[in-house]
Amino acid sequence: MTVRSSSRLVRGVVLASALALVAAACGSSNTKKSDSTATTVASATTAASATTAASATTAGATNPAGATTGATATSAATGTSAATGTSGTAGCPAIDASVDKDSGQGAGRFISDLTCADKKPLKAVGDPIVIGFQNPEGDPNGSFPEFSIAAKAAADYVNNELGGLGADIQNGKPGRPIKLEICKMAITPDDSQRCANELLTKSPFAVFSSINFFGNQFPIYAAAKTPVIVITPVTVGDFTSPGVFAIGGGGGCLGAHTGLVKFVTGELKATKVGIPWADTPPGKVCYYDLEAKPMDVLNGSVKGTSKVAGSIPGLTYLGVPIKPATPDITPAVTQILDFKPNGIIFSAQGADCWNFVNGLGRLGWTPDAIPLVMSGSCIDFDAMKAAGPLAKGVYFVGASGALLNDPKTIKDVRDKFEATTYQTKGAKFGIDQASLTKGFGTQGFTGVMSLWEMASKVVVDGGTLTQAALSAAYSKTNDQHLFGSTPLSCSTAPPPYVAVCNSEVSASKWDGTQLVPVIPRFSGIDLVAGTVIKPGP
Amino acid sequence: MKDLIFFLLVGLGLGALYAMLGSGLVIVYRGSGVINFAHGAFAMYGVFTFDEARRNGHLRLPWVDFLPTHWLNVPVSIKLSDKGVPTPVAFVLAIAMAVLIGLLAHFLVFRPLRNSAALGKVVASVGVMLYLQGVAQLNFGGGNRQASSIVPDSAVRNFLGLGKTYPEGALWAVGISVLMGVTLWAIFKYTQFGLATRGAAGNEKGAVLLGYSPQFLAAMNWVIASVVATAAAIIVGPIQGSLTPVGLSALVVGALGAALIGGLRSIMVAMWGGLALGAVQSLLGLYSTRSWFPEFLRSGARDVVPLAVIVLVLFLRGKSLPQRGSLEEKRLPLSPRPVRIPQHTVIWALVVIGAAFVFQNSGSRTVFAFALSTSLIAAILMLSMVVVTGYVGQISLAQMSLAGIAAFFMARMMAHGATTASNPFPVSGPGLPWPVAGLLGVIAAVVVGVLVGLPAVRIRGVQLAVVTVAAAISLQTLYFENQSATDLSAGAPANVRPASFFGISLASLGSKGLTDRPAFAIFVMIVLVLCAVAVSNVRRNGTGRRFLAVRANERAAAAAGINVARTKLLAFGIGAGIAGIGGVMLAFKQNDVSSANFVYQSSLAFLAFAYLGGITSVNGAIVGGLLAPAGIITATSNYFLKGTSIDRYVTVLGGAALVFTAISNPNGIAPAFQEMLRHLGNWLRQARGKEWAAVGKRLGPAFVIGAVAGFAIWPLRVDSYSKVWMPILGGLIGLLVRSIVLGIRQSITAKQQKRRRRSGPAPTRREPGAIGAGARTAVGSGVDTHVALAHAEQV
Repeated sequence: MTVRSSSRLVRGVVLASALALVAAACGSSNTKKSDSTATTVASATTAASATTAASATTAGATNPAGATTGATATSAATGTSAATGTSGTAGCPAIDASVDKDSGQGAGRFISDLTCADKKPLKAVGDPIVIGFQNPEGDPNGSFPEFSIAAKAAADYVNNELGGLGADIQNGKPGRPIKLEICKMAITPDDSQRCANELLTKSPFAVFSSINFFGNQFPIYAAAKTPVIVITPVTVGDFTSPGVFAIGGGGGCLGAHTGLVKFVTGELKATKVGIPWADTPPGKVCYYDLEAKPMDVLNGSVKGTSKVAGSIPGLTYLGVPIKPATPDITPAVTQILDFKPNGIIFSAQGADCWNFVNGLGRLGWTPDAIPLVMSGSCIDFDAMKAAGPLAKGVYFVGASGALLNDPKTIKDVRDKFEATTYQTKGAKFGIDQASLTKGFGTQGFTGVMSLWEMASKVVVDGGTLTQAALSAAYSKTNDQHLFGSTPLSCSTAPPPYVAVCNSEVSASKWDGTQLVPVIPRFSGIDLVAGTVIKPGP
Repeated sequence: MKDLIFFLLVGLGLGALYAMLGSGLVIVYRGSGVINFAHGAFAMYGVFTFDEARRNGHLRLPWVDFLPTHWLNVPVSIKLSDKGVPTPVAFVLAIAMAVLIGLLAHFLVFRPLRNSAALGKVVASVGVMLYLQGVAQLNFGGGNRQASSIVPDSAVRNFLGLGKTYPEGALWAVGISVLMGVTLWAIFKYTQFGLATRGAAGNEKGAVLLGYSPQFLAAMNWVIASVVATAAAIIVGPIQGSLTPVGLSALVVGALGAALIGGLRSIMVAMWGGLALGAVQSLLGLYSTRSWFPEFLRSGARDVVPLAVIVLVLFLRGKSLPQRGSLEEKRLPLSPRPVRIPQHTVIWALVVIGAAFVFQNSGSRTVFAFALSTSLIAAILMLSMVVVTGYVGQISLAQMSLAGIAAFFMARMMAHGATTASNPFPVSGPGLPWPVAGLLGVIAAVVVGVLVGLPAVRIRGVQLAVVTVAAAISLQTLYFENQSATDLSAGAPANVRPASFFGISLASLGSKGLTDRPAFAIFVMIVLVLCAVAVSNVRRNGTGRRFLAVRANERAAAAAGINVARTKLLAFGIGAGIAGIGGVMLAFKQNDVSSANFVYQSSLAFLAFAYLGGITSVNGAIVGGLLAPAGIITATSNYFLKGTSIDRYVTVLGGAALVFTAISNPNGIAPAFQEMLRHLGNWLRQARGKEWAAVGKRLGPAFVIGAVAGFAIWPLRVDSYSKVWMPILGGLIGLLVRSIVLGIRQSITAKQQKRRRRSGPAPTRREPGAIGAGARTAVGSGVDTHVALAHAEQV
């Protein structure tokens, strides 16, 4: 045990460099609909939302976002729009396929399933299916227990109410329970491979990799033909490894950084943008290829095939590298403010985000004076509350922000339903308050819910739940519903980012106490269409 | 010009933190001869205490309860208020905590180590750092905390007419750091306490003769340094960045730079040096974004350039750096002459080969196969430390970086412009076969190793350690993370193709994806055996004796005709070569290596494990390898203590174990283990029923009491412990407690006897094993015992 203990000290720099990469927190990837989704989602869901608001507030505890919720949270969806689908023998609410249009294929069925299970919980039966979960935990250099706490809660929810993996709730057929094997890893390359070895000895059906700064576990899983679901992609391996499905975080910087650019220039109309960026090897590529280059596409200095290429000729920007976990950020912030930007975008890990905001505040900046847009990975309610006025009015671009929003403020029927589900079921199955309100907590929950949904899809589509079938199901996704996030589209992942399943994002704004949705779904990935990869200056 | 002035000024905020921490390092060094790598951790615990009291009204004590029960617990937290205490109260609490930590560090750790070698103190300070980081992780959590300012921190517009905004808090920090520096300088210059401390730093014997207690002075200095560190961290507030258990610990490198600029002697110079360091870093941060700035330096300029300046300063004035005059000579543990090498080799080889096959594809036990190859490679890496540190006494914290040189160079030499599964961007290279690429990698490591060792010609001890840290950080930035050198885009790892030997694959990954191929384990074992035999032979021949002579006393060695500079460089070269071989093997094991494998903290951790194992012997390196991260001991504890909550405490226990070893068993585990095995073997050969009964009578009660306590505690625990393992653990703890009690009793008895001897006539009988009169004379005349022993061995 002394071994692991002392290895803690090894990892400061490691974590530091990689943490900054935890770009973004949301997204998904269908470039075809990127430009129009914002408006369509809003209009398609308004009618439903009025009726759902009331039913979502039955009796019960206060959720993290301040909404009143209760045991029948999932009934929120029951009174929504007209049923357009058929249901099975279990007497579940009719499937509203119209939701699929904006929330991804299967969204209507998903809502029906969860609503049904809420009234008549379906317990999983049979031998458990082992699911590995590799997570950095207990290391002073970086510990993210909220991932595994939320995933454990989701697994318990699936086992106790959603019938387990491969359940067909519409017909009342249970699946098998999940046995979540969590491997707590220290933040070292060796421990990453140790965990992979340890999990493989338990013959897992699939493995979750929450956040990993090395990417050296993939060849091990690949050799064992074990599907890997990456919850928060950060390394180049997360984006490019075959057999890996990066479902979270807006596809890492691919979705989040382009989304930040699109939001700050499109929604906020910024023409001078300050771009502090994570000074790490992957962070460098994320900046040059997915922030600087889209800016150049917009101002016409780089040719691209995007419809908006060259549409903002006067657009200028200044990139300032910031080492992760750096003390005294004042010099970097001074450079940014000296540029006199009318918009700032920043993507990093929580602590670095709020260190940056702190630094801005010390030089007299306020969000009203210069809008700040940060990635969803920066979302941390405790930190946001502690930052007080400095956080009020800050925008977040990511995929999982909606789960943390107060359901009362959400108009979209699906977002409202899932936010309510996450906040009630998460609390019911053991997520503590602090973990419940963290971006990584939502992503851990989302990961397991995604697995459940895909496993059920395999069975409902008439297949047998095997590793190959699960991998195939993920591989084929194209605009497939994903709980608490934008839809999955693994099949449309652009080379070399073949593992990226989700590069759409949403935008929300912190109003001082809660996140308020701004744009439910959009993508900036079109900004790099028709350009060559630019990994450096 | 305005930019230049402003950015120099804006860096003074961080410089103030360096200045105050650096002053603390100087104080501790002068007070007790320790370069305290845990200094940043002291500040960290203090600032966490402040923040927690102010935010949540809790006072978290610097320890944890390993065995929490439902009804009887060690107090670890005191609730003072529901909503947090006022800032002044929190500040007082934090300062009180700093006093407590300073006192505990002195009396529990560094006082017992007062006569130890510098390496022991370095290792102990690393242990203290780990301990405090682990306790902070458990007591304060790893959440996202931002430090707030206790001094006015509004924005000063158009500061000094430079047209830019300056944070007022930085001005306060600079002012307070200068005030603090001047105050400390005055205290040490004009007060009796200060004069006594300075006197004791120069000559402990003289201080004793004048009636001062060097240990009392040391305790006071520890307290002052701890308080200064905590106050500094609280005052600079947000300048230190986010509050994390490791954040401030990492700043110790900058603070060491400041302290070294001050020659570990002058608080004022250290203070100005710290301020200058912060200012220069800020300016480099600005210039590194300019187009004219060299691309290969852009990312790491802030870190590398100041360190390079420090190294230069140290090199130029190396011999003028103070070595503390102490009561007793400080020496590294004895380096035993390796014996029975063939027998040891055969036994180890058989054990490894057996384990490699037993654990292959063996279900949940397959984790031991991975751990086995990890431990074997770690043992190779630690052998390089045995040569450099164990034999020649040079503390190098760049050994892992040298391993990285070999690994990255080999990967580049093997690359042939193709993409890999882990790297979609092609890497150019000559595509050499693995033996040639590996050899070139090792040669590159040797060349760099000799260059890293050059400063050792003029400086030594902890100063050299700091220089090697600078070298490690530079290599990290300028090579491992430098795309122009590695051709690796986007932080992709350096990929290494598996080795093969006459058609036999030596790949580490088996068909099921597990790192369990016996062929790879045997491959590593053969390499380890070759390295171990080579190191053993070095120790046994004239080179080894020259190494030991240099280690013992450079002047005496030079007087005996040994070329000290050449000997040191030879050791660095051999050490680098072995480290390079370790790096090559690590690359073959992982297939993808990244810069994270080779950060200087890895070297620090490996050095600590090598010390735990026994840094002066080959067997020590092997035991250290077993202890290494993700090695056999980790796998064993994870396997058998699965489901317990013991894993929460690994950092704390690891730190405490390092401190315990440094104090109680500086020779490391291996010599004690060897001795124990020898006794056990002899005893087992001779033991009959009567002997067994006697042992049962001696050890049985302690084991049984421990086991019963373990079993009884289990149901009382809040967390879950195994019904089987808790009693066994309890039994073993019982035996440990018994041995500690006996040890204390023996030491008391020995002291009493010593006292009686002093008051009575001088003994005439020589103790068995005592060194001869010649050796005593040698010690008295300034020549270390080891030289005498080495000489005796030669004779």
